[in-house]
Amino acid sequence: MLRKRILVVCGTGIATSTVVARKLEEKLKEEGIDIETRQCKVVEVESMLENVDLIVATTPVPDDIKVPVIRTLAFLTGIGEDEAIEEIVRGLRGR
Amino acid sequence: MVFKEIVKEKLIFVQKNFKENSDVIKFLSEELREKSFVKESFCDAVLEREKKYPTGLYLGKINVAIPHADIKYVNKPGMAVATLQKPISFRKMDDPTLSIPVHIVFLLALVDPNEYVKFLSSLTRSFSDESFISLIYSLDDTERFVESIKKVIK
Repeated sequence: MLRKRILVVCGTGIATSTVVARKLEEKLKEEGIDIETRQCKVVEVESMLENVDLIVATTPVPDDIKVPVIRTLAFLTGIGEDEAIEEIVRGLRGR
Repeated sequence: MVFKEIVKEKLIFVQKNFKENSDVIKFLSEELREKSFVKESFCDAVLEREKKYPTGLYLGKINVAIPHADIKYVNKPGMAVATLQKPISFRKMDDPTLSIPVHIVFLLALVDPNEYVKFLSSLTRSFSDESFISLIYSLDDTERFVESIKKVIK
């Protein structure tokens, strides 16, 4: 699988998205998936979609976005983390 | 080093009582401002952000909130924490249409989150440990609170 690009979205594009991005890099490496993350604020999402394979968001994002969105707090709270990784891996392999 | 910069006993407040989530945020912001961690505009920025993008995290029995604001309102990194005798309602980060009772508020003042990501990751990772969260919620001693947090930050 080629390197995948994940856009990590939170309210301000700083604190929570950074934690989620680092966690995703670590977890997906364990799954043997090469990813590149970018972070942004939820209001910037539409301008950040170029070459993005998947969006992982901690807040709701607009419904009309063309890229698949996984909304989860698992990488912040640790609750349901394995399930969220499975969902992300499925999402990335499906593309 | 990073840890010491962020968790300070003078910014930990245990077993407090407030009416609304804005009261907790105002109280903790004022503490951060008084000790020159943040600019005067920090409090309004946090309140405004909380309105648009709430930060309540549902963990189960004991829930937490991690309000924060843009780095431009911060002078130096700090974290003010309050445990609430009576839980206060915050809206959920992942679904702002729902509210949850919050027992512990971690008000984050970040300068460069990339530098502090290790700290934040450890902190948020500790949220999945129910016995840890229950323990820190039960403490009425700020020194033990800091010690306990220190143990989970790797």
